[in-house]
Amino acid sequence: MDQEYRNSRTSVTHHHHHHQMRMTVPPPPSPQPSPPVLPHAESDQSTSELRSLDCNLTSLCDHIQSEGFGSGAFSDVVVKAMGSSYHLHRLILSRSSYFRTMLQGPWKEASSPVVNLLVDDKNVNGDAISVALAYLYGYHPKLDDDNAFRVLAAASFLDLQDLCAICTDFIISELRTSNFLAYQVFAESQDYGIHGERVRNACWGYLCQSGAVELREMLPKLSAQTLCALLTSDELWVPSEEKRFELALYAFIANGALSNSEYSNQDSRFERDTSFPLDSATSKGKNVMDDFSFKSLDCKLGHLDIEDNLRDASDDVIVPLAEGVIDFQRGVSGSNLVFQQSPNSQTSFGRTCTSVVDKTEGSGVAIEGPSEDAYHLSNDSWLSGADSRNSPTLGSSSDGFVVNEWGNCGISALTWGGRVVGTRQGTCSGKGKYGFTEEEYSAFVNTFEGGSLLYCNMSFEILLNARKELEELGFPCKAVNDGLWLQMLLSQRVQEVAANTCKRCSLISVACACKQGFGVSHGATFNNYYCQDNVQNNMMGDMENVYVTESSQREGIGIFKPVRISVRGQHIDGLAGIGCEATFVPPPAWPPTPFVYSRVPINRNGQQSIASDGCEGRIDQSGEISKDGLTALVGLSQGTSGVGNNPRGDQTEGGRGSGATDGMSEPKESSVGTEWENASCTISLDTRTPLCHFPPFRFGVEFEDVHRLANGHVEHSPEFFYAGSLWKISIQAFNDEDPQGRRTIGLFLHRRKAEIVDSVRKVHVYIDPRDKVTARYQLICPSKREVMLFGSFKQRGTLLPKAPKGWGWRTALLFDELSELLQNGALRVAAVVQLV
Amino acid sequence: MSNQKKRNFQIEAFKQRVVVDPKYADKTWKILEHAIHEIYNHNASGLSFEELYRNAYNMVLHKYGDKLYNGLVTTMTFHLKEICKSIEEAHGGAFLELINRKWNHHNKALQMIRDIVMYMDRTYVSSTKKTHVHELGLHLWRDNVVYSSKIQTRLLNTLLDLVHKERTGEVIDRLLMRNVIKMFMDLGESVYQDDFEEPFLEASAEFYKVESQGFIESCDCGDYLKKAEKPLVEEVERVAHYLDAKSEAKITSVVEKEMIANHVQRLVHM
Repeated sequence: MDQEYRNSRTSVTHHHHHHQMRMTVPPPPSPQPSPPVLPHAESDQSTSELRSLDCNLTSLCDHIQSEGFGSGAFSDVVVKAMGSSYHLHRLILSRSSYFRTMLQGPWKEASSPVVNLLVDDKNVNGDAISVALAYLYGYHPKLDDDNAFRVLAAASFLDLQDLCAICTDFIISELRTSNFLAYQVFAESQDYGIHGERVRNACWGYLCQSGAVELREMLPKLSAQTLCALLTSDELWVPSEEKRFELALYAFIANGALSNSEYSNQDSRFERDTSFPLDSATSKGKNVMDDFSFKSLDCKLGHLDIEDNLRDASDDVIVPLAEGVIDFQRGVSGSNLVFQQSPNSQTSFGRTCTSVVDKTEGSGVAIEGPSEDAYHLSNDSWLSGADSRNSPTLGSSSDGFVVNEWGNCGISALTWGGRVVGTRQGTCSGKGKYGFTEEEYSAFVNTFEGGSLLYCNMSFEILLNARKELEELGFPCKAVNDGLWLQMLLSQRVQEVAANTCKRCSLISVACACKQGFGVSHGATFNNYYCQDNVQNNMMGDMENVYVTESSQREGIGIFKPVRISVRGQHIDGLAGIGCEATFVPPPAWPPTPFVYSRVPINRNGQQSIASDGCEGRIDQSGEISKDGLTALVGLSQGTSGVGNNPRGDQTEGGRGSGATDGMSEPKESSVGTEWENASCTISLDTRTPLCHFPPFRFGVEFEDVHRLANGHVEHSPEFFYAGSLWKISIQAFNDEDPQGRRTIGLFLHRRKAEIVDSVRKVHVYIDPRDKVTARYQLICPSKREVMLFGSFKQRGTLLPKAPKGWGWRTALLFDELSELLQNGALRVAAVVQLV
Repeated sequence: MSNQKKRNFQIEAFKQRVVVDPKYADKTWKILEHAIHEIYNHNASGLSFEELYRNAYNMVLHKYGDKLYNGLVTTMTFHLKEICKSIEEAHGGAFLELINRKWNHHNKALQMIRDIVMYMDRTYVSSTKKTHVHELGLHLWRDNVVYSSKIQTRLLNTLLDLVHKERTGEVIDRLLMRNVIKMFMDLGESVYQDDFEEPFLEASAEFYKVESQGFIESCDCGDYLKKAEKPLVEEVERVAHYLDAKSEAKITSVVEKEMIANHVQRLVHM
């Protein structure tokens, strides 16, 4: 024994510390003998002495655990919690600062032999407390899906930070589709400090990675705020902007349906079957709708007193029950129609629920203003004749209401175009509280209209479709309209820039010293033309007000002259954010189209202008002169045979609008300088807007079986069209890039000039003929572990190498860490690209 | 297992509206507020840490950290204003004594409050980048008591007066001095420097200017230098007794300047 002791005196301090760390003994209080240390220890000695030390510590541990925690020997305090009594020891308990404070402070408990813990966090149960107390005695917690969050909650309460970390690690490593929602809600609805934040971050990464696929069914169950943050985030992996739109629409509709069903106590059906197959969903949706119809009618009978909310307009508002019923029927027929019309877009379940939302809210406040006539015209044109019969025209009595409410910014969010979609809490009193709260609703409006869905990167046909969908939901569609203009403007700008770029040095003509011909050397001009293959298009050769309708080129192709547009000042007239400040004499019908792409978050003030959009467009229909080209154009397309059925009409108007602006004054550079990143301002765009002021382009790609990638091998994603170029991501495996010799995966962005092969896309495909372009970009790999970001939008831009070369990071990912980053073996990469 | 999974899903009500009683936060806060009153009113012995910690924990857990924090500021401010009033009413020598006593009590109360809101300090305060409770308590004391218009000047004058008395040979309560000046140091280096040290150095310069003038009129060079040495020793001793050690260099240089440097011409030609 003596010998052993002396041996242990030769021990190296590190060993001590090592053990202390493992047992998470807090640093000893200061008046304590320092561990015995002798300067030189021979290696064979230290091994044996280490063994004996280990032995001693193990036996101490065993003693404390079995005698202390197990049998409560020499216990000096009894802890009662959740129905159990634990005979414990102050010395051990004081490892937790909670107990330490309690037992040594000036508190009632300090001198008490029994301590009663009334834990009232519902996530904590007796078992979790027991695990946490055992942890203080050196037991390692046994965690599983069911108790991890409970132990975390208990450990958080008892201020056991190490145990919290163990639980969080476990939760993050075990995060799956099946438990995702539980953990998301757990971390989101309570504040568990940094540990909760870690779980939240993991959930976010997982959601970004899998939200468009594996977790899709979960989306409707997320809080509206989380959902909207997700749907607008660059970090969400989704193949394309149109898929993002579909996802958002699905989530919106299903979320609304859940809100309703929750209200009508139908929630059990939804709560249990979170992932029912789409086929059966239809019938379920219908059931809900049927059930709901009665409930909501009941509700209406009792609560038609909506006057409170309608304030000054209340006198005019009378909603007879009969109309409510009619309205309801219309809702049903409308939904049926949508099934036929958009087979590809949403689950039919979601669609059915639209009408539930629509109907129930609508019947509560079925006010239809003057614009409603126009709306119905177009609506009817989509409906079959039989359906349109049912469309009520609640009519003139509510004129004042709609106008007033727009002016008052009151509940206007809910009444665009006279249709009511969401409702504030309390729109119907008491029982009538279904659907979205105002907050939730405005979160969704922000998603669709706030500028975070980049409609400008969707194809024209898809935009039309999106517009239709949004209109049916009563959204103003302003952002969609703007998207189309942005698209056109971007194509013009890209071609203009390309034409001004030196072929040799890839610099813009002003900066180029090569004295070479510029990119497009057909001597034409800097005219922008928009045609199929971007060959020399000399008919556009002058700056005159030439307007060509190339009907032979197929629907939807307009040829736009360069548009010289008066850039508006600060003035915003509130008409869908599209200005009407004319500096010239307006031509008969169409004033100029100074372009404002608004990213103003939709708030009460914002709603005003949005609401006006529909209104103006429709008023225009009824013969009034619209104040600007865009809304007028929209109005026309609606008034004829439905959106998209009269492209010639669009084209004509668009062309005329742009032609008319030709003689306008020079744009002022200063007003162009708004940064895209500045979310709270309005961005003015015109034909001189730098490319970097256009919204970026996002796409998502997936690489299967990444861990099988052999060294040096490359895998390419499909290509995506943006701004006259084709973009793709490639990954490559390396074993010679990491300084520590680990295998790595490189991540690269490739760009080449577009070529037109795909006949479907030719409508909006154009070519940026440059060999090299400058872009800023970010590649994002979302995962449970973290959302990995490569690149930054703060940079000024990278001159991308000539195709087929790519540009990126050769050691972006480590093979060793792949398992934490993949989803079913696939690596998902989201890309955000912006030409500068 | 699958049954248990189901149970998991029950905790995830689809909307994250906190399901607690709407008056929950108010009720809970009332309990805590009452406790803080008791602590400041010297009634703390019967308080249950378990209950108070749990309530403060739950408030933060259910995202009422804001309410808790603001309530804390309000309540502490209220008590400090009360304290301030009682200090203002103190007469003569009781003034400094009372400040010291109240300061000590405030520190104890602050420690208890900090224990109660430990979780808020760890999570809410960190994530919202607010001032931690301990520092907050010091700031509130500084702003409401030390910087109170009726106290600030009086406190400084009292201290300088005591120093003056000591310099002129009276015996003062050095321990009390030490405690009160320690308060300035605890409130932060800038408080000590700006609100005590600087005026102290100015007063010292003034004092020794007069002092040296008197000496130099009456002594020859050798006597003068002997007399000049005495205050140096005294000031170093003073620093050791009740000032911040960093003040030593500053006060010695003041003394040297006033006693020697300013008279160097005259001394050389004496």
